[in-house]
Amino acid sequence: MYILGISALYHDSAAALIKDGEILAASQEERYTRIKHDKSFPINAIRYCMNYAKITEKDLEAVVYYDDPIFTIDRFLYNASAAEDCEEALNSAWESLFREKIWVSDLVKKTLGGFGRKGSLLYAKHHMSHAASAFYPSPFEKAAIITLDGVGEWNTTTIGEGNGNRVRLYKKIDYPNSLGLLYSAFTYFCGFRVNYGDYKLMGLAPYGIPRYYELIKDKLIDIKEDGSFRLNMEFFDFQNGKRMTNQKFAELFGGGEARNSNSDITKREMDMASSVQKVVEEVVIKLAKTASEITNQNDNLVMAGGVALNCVANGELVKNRIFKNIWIQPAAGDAGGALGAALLTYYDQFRKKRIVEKNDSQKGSFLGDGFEENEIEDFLKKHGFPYHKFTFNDAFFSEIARNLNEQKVIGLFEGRMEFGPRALGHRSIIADPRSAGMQSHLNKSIKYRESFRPFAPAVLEEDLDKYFEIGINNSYMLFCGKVKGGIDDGEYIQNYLESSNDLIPIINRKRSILPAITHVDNSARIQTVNYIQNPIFYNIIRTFKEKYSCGVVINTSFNVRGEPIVRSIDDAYRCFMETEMDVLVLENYILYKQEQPEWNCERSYYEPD
Amino acid sequence: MSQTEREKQIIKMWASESKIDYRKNNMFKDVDTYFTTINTNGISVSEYDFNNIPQLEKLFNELWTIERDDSVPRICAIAAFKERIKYDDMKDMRNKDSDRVLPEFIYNM
Repeated sequence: MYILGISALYHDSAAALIKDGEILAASQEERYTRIKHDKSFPINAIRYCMNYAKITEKDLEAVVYYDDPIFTIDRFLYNASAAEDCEEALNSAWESLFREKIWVSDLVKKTLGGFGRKGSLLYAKHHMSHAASAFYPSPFEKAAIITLDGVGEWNTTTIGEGNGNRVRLYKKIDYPNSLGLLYSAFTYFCGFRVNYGDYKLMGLAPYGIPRYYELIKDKLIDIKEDGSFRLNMEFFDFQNGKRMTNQKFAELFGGGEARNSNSDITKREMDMASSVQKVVEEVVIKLAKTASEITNQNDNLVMAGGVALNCVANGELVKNRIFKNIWIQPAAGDAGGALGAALLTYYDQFRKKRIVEKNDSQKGSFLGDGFEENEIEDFLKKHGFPYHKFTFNDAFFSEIARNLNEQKVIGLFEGRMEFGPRALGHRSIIADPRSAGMQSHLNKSIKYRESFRPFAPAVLEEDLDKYFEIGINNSYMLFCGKVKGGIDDGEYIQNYLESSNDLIPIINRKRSILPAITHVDNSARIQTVNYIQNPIFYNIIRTFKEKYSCGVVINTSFNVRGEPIVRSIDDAYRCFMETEMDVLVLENYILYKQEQPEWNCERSYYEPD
Repeated sequence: MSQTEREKQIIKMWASESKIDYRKNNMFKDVDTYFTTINTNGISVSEYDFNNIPQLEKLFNELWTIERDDSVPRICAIAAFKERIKYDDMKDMRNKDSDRVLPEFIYNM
């Protein structure tokens, strides 16, 4: 039984295909259209899923959309009534709702020709889709569930439970009270793009001190002991549909305007980031305690929704040991809703038996496009790009390790593309984490992004405890931990920032034996790599360790600022040539920059993200 | 003027005169929780279809939770059918490029 799940028209449109409960394929539309977080109907992602399984619409049992637009219109009407500027609120969403969202079935029908054997489109509730995406692929027979995002229909937060093949949600918090929207408000005010820059705010937080923490709790959000909360809407403007915060919000933080994205980041933004991060962590931990109480267990917790991508809060959750085990959907944002909707339909709606897999059934989240050896060779030959062909043997891994040790930056394109925002070794840029200057180099010359942003380490699973203090294995890079033997530069930074806003000297300080992946507070967003899920990437790191005594590499997504992660061979080669990357690995083919023909860069600048 | 300007004006009038109890500061120090209970009646996935204005109006009436005038569901159903796009080919399914980029200052809700 094939079921196709679709998420679209909000953020990160995606499609996911399952067969008898097994996840076959899942992909985000942005990877095809090259528009980051593309919200348009995922024609390309749907085509990919259908082609992967070699099926047509007639083979589908059902097609399910991850959201229910009837309820979204309900909330929209409430919002219009509640907004100060009713007209602005109506204008901001009118066309999107009445032209697109309510007619999503037309879009499906036009793309697929029908809705499978069911005969009409199915609609899963937004937070049920998130909950299902978190529970069904998890390695747990039974688990507490928390979903947290900006808003889906009415809900912003839910607590529930998964048991066998059923998912049930028990408690909720509704719009406009939203932890996701609170975080977005700070993202906006600190000069980062809403819907794009939340992770930048998270990366900025360790540079600041949480001096606004009490102020936020006093004025902006009331948090109850059970983790439930409400926002004080006197300080927010998102109901009017134009911007996240108002003048009163600005006055709360010393007045002035929200930071312009082109201006310097000041101590105020750093402290705001630190403060709201602390608030988020407090809420998440309290919610977890409540989820444990409601479900009467402390064994397993699963999470999804955009806020579940806050790996710093997730790391705190691990430290608090409320649950013994935690699993978070790697595509925790709206993209994962496509997968959740499909799984929910299969298990909960059709009451099919669920078999729990020991690790999980997400398949390493390697659910997207892959390319055959002959496709790569054809591409290289067609364009006359020089290459060195290897087999996946010691010589191949040694060559990559040698280049890493020589401080080369390597684009790694291998296997099926990742589903979700993190590159996990199949569409990654990798480098040596021992170099103190590598973070600046990667940010400035490869990724073209803000200098303060940290890079993540990928470590062999068996070496996790050697390098990090985290207490959880995670192949999906969803938890932050501490670097062993590293220094927390918190106090130094505060003294330094009294006299300068230039962050480069801070970034280049050597805080650990792995400075390029050690954030200023000695934290790191860690990916553990095992042979079963990720054999090629595992062997690269293993060889680097055997030959050069370092069982960790930098792993950052294979893209530049403002661009989605590369999907195709062409995307990868283009990105390789338009940046200062040194080496490109296309499956078992290795390309060196100095051997490539001259490249006329089509882009003279990079879009802000 | 858009083809649903009339409907928008009617909804605007309703919204601005709405009697919905709405306070900007809804934080109450004397309550223990802001959670509310979810009652799904065991339904996790919905299946519905509508081919005309009365069918959509009926769905709105059945599923909406918001307090409203009787006319609001009908006006919204009319707006939906007026805005409905007839897709001639796949290219039509794509909005203008500028519309596909998410807004900069506001969460896309």
